Amino acid sequence: MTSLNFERIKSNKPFKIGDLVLYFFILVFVAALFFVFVLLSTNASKDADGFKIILKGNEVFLFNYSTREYEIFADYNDYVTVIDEGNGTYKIKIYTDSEKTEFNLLTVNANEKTVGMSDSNCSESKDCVHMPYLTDDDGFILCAPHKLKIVPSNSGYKPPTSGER
Amino acid sequence: MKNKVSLIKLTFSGILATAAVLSFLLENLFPPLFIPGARMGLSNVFILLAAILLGNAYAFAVLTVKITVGSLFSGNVSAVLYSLPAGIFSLTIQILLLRFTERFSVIAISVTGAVLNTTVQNTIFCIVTGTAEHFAYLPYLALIGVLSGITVGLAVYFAIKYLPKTLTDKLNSKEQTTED
Repeated sequence: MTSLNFERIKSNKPFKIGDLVLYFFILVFVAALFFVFVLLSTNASKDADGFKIILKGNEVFLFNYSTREYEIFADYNDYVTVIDEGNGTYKIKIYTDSEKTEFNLLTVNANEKTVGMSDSNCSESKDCVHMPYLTDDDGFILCAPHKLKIVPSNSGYKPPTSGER
Repeated sequence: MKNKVSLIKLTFSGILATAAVLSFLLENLFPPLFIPGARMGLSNVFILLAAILLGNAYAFAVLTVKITVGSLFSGNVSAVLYSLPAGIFSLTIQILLLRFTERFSVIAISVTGAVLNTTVQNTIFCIVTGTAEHFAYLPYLALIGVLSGITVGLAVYFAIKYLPKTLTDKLNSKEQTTED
């Protein structure tokens, strides 16, 4: 079977007429994805004036762009550090484990109402660092290995009443 | 029950698995392609080659080694949760389609596998991480999947084209075997 397949593929051309069937289904599938997730999608979180950090399902930090006030929720005081660098720029370092070895570093620009991930030791590829900046009305930042999510403050997320770190 | 395992196939699958892990780790050193989490998936060249040259069991073994070892070394063990089921699903479909190579080219099979892999992986990722927002990336990830599938398919096509026949003859010979 393997040898037969090898010989057949070796003699095949890079395109066969039957490919059209596969390409047609892929085209329909991708078009359907665009229709459902791009054209029909509505932005539920318009004009948020801040963002919140959710760690392992618990809301741990809230920041307001206009007042520049922030709140670290009680259990996480030792795990979140905010550095005011002036000119509306803040650095937020958050440890995501109890041993304080895993971290994420956020940069906030309160004037432009944006927040982005500057650094993390989550993995080699650091996908979260390459995610687009969260603006006041759109987007999210996710660090999957650290189970950390940053969303606009008026997004529909409701934190659980209790939870363990 | 005794299964005969070809030594040369076992050795060659080890080489393919190593190449798959290395290319996976190498790709992880570069930033994602346009969309967070998007990769070309060049390591899939070695998995598809394993399916064609060695057989289904070897291909699944190479896939499992690539995902588990690759995720472990790249420091993202949780990726196994969404990469492995997606990889198994996508490889199963590709193996089924490889039975009809008189109708489909290896490039079209690779594109189908890449798009399915991306879709399943992103869906499981959203469920595991509880991030429904990530679905917004799915159409773009599927498009990158098409590009990735073409690249992988072309690489496999040319590899098969220029591999010497003596290699496949050796891979299919039953002389060097060991009992499991």
